[in-house]
Amino acid sequence: MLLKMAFRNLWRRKFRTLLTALALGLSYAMTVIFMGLADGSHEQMADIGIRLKAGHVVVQGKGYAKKKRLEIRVFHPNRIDAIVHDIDPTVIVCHRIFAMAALRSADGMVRLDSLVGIQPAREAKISEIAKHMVAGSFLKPGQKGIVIGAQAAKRLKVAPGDNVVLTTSGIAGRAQEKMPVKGIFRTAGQAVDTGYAQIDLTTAQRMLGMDHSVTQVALFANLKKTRRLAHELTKRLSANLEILTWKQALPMLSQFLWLDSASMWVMLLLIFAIVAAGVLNTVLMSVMERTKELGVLKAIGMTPRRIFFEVAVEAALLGLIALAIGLAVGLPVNHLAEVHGIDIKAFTGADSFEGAGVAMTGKMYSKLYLLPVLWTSIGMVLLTVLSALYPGWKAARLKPVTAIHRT
Amino acid sequence: MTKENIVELHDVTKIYRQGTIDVPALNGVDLCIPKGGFAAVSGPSGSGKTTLFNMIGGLDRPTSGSVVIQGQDLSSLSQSALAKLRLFKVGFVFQAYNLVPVLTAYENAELVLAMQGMPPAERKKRVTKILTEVGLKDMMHRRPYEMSGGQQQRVAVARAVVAHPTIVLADEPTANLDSKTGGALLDMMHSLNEHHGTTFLLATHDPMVMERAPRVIHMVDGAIATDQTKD
Ligand SMILES: Nc1ncnc2c1ncn2[C@@H]1O[C@H](COP(=O)(O)OP(=O)(O)OP(=O)(O)O)[C@@H](O)[C@H]1O
Ligand SMILES: [Mg+2]
Repeated sequence: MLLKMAFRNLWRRKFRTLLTALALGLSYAMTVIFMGLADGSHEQMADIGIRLKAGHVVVQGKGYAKKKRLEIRVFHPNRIDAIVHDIDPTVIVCHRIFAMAALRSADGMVRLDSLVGIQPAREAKISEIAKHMVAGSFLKPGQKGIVIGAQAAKRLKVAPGDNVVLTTSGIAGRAQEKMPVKGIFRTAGQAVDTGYAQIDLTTAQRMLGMDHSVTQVALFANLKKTRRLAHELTKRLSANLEILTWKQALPMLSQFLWLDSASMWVMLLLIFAIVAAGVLNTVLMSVMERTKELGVLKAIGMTPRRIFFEVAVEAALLGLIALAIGLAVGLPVNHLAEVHGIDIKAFTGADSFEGAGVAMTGKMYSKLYLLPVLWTSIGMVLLTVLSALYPGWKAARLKPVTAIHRT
Repeated sequence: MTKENIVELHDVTKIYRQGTIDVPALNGVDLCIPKGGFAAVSGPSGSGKTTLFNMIGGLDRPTSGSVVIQGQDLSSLSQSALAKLRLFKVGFVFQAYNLVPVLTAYENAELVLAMQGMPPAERKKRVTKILTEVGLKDMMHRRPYEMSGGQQQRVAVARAVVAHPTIVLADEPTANLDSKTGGALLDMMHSLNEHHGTTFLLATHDPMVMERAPRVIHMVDGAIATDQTKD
C-alpha cells in the first residue's frame, strides 16, 4: 500500500518526476560511460606500459627497482623460466637488460634512456614495438643490429641498413660497437620514439659485461592473474630477488592512472551533488504540496515514522526509475564504445592520451566491470533516499492541525 | 454504576498565538463523554468546536488542562503513541479536506485497516460492507476528484467508522450534503452507535443533527454555554 501510494504520487506529477529522473538517470548514464572509458583506456595504457617497460609481474635483483644499477641483477634467469612454467605454462617469460646508452651517426647523437637487450623470439609475442614498425623489421634471434624509434632515426638521419655507433657503460666499463639499424618504429609517445631502442640480449650482455645475467625477467599473463602469480613466485623464488607487480614496477604510471580515475570521480561526484540537490528540491516540493494530505494521513493514525518511510520510498522509487533510465542509456552507449572504440582525438581533442612516459593513440575501447556498476547503482539509489531524508523528516514532523486547517 | 468515560477534559484551554496577539480558542472546558454516548456540539463559527475536536483526537496539545481518553492522559503520549491511539481508537471526519487524493474510495477506507495490520480478506469484507452502507457501492474505485463533495464526505465517514473505533469525531459531517443523504448518514451513525456502542461527537450547525442527538453541547467563545441531555 505504501508502495502503491508512493508510485501514484510520483505518477501524479509525471512531468516533474520524469524530469528529475531524467537528470538523475542521464548523470548515471554518464557515470557508466565514463567508468567504462576510464577503465578501458587505463587498461590499454597499462598494457602498453607493461609491454614496453615491465611485465604483469617482473623479477629483478633485490633493490633494482630503487637503484636501477646493472650490478643488481638476476644471475640465473633460466631457472626462473622453469619455475614459472611450473606455476602456469601459459605465462610468457622475457629476459631483458635495461641500460642507458648513447647512439651516434655521422649526423647526430641521441641519448637512450632505455636501451633494452631482448630475446627477439620471445619478445615478439608480446612486443609493443613489433606492432609499430614503420621501416625495416623487428629483430630476429641472434641478429646483430638495433631497432630504434622514429624520432631517434630522424635526429640521426638514418634509415634501415645504415650504421650507427652504440656506446654503453657497463659493469666492465665503456664499450662501443658499430651496428646496422634493423628497424624503425613509431608509437604514440615522443619519449619512447626518441629514447627507447632494442638490441639482441647476447649483444647487450657482451657489451655491458653481464655474462648470462639480466636485469629483468618479465612475465606476461593478464591483469587478473597478476597478483596470484606474484604471490606464487614470492613463495618459490630466492630472497635476493624482488618480485613486483606492474603497479610496483611502474609506480609513475600506476599513479598517473589512479589520479586520472580520481579526477573523473571527483567530477562525477560534483555532478551528482548538483543532481542530488535537484532531487531534494523535487521531493521537498512534493511534500510541501501535500501538506494537507499528509495531515490527513497523520490524523487517521499514520505514525511519523511511517510518513517518513513513505517519503523515503517515493524517493527510492524515483531513484530506481532514474537507474533504469541510466542503464538503458549508459549500457548501449558503453557497448558501442566497447566494440567499436572511441577515437581519442574526437573525444579529448588531443592526438594522444599520454602520462608517465606512456602514450596511446587511435581508439580507446571501453571496458565495464559488473562490480563498479553494481556499487554505483546502489550508491545512486542511496543518494536519492539520502536526499529525501530532510523532506521526509519535515513531513514526519508536520503538525496535523496546521497541516489540515491551514491553506 | 457510573458509566465509563471515553473522554474527559479537565479545564482545557487553548490559546493560539498569531504574531504578537493571543487568540483564545478554548477557555477552560470541562467535559465528560461516556462510553456509547452520542453528542452534538453546536455553536457559532469560531466558537472553538474544531479546536475542541483537535484536542480530543490528540491532533494538537492544549495550552493548559488535561485531556484523558479511556483513562489515558494524552499529554504523556509521544507523537507516535498519539498516532497509534488515533489509528485504533479515534475516527476523524474533517470539515473540509479529508481524503488521500491518490487513493480510491475503497483504498482510502482500506488504508486504516491496512495500517492496523488486518489481513486483506477481512479488509475487503469490511470495506465493501461499509461503502455499501453509505451508498457508494458503485463508486468504490473512484478517486476523490471523480466524486462530488457529498460523496467524498460519505467516504470520509466510512473511513472514520470502518475500523470500529471507540469514538468518532465528526466535524460538520453533513454540511455539504442534501438533507436526504445527510439523514441517511445520520441513520448510519445512530445505528453504529446502537449496535457497536461507538461513541459519536458531532460538531454541527445542522438542526436535524441537533434534533436527533440525545445530547447537545452548545459552545460560545471557547466555553461550554449549555449542555443538555434529552431523555
Ligand atoms: N491554527 C490556528 N491558529 C490561530 N488561530 C486559530 C487556529 N485555529 C483556530 N483558530 C482560532 O480559534 C478560534 C476557534 O476556531 P475553531 O476552528 O475551533 O472554530 P469552530 O467552532 O470550529 O468554527 P467553524 O464553525 O467556523 O468551523 C477562532 O477564533 C479561530 O480563528
Ligand atoms: Mg470548525
